[in-house]
Amino acid sequence: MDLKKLLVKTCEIFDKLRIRYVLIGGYAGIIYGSPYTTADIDFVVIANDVKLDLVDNLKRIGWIPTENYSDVEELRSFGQFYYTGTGYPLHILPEVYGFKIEKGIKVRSIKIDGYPIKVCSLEDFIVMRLAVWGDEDKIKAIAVYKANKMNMRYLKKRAEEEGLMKRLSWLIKKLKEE
Amino acid sequence: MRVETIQGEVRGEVTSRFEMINIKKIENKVEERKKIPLEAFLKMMSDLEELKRYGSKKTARKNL
Repeated sequence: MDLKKLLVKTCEIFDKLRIRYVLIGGYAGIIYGSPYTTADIDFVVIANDVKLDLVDNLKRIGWIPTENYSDVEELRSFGQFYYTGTGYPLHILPEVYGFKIEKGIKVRSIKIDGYPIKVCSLEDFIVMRLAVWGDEDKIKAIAVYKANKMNMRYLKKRAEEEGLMKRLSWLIKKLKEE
Repeated sequence: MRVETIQGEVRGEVTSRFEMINIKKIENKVEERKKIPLEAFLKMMSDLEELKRYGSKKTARKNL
């Protein structure tokens, strides 16, 4: 199964089990026009929606858990799987630097292979990159910023909420200088 | 378009300073990417991953 099909199948499982999720990371960046590839599929979920039956459902489509996950709290705090054969990693997290699912967060629904996938907004993608701010994050932030028209009001609001306004101002200034 | 990993972008450069990142180069890549529909890019990416892991798609299929 290729990455795209795997992504759709994984989202179908979240929907079936009523787990509220948002796709983040490099894959979300690609959806927003990033030219850089990734093999990881990363999700932020509402931790309390996750139950242990998620493990068996994921196993059925080929995801192998890296941990035993006999305790649901372990799964809720950090779920890690790899795909049979290819080794693609899957991460399921309750939150990451710069992002968690809460009131006021914008989520987009984007169809892939005809199936609606919930994806973080492109502004939140930028905020997550600002929060980590390694070289790869800077490059991906620039790519997504350049590929899209930003909702600046929402981007600034989110950067402010996460205490990242200085980094955002710096990014905008640098891109204007080019 | 040549699909490139981000490591390919930064390899061999000291990019810990923002100034060292070649914004024009990123812009060019973004423009090239715009010409490719999302689903086609995802297919290219999967193929690239298989090539990286197995050397060829044929070998990849055998291993799956």
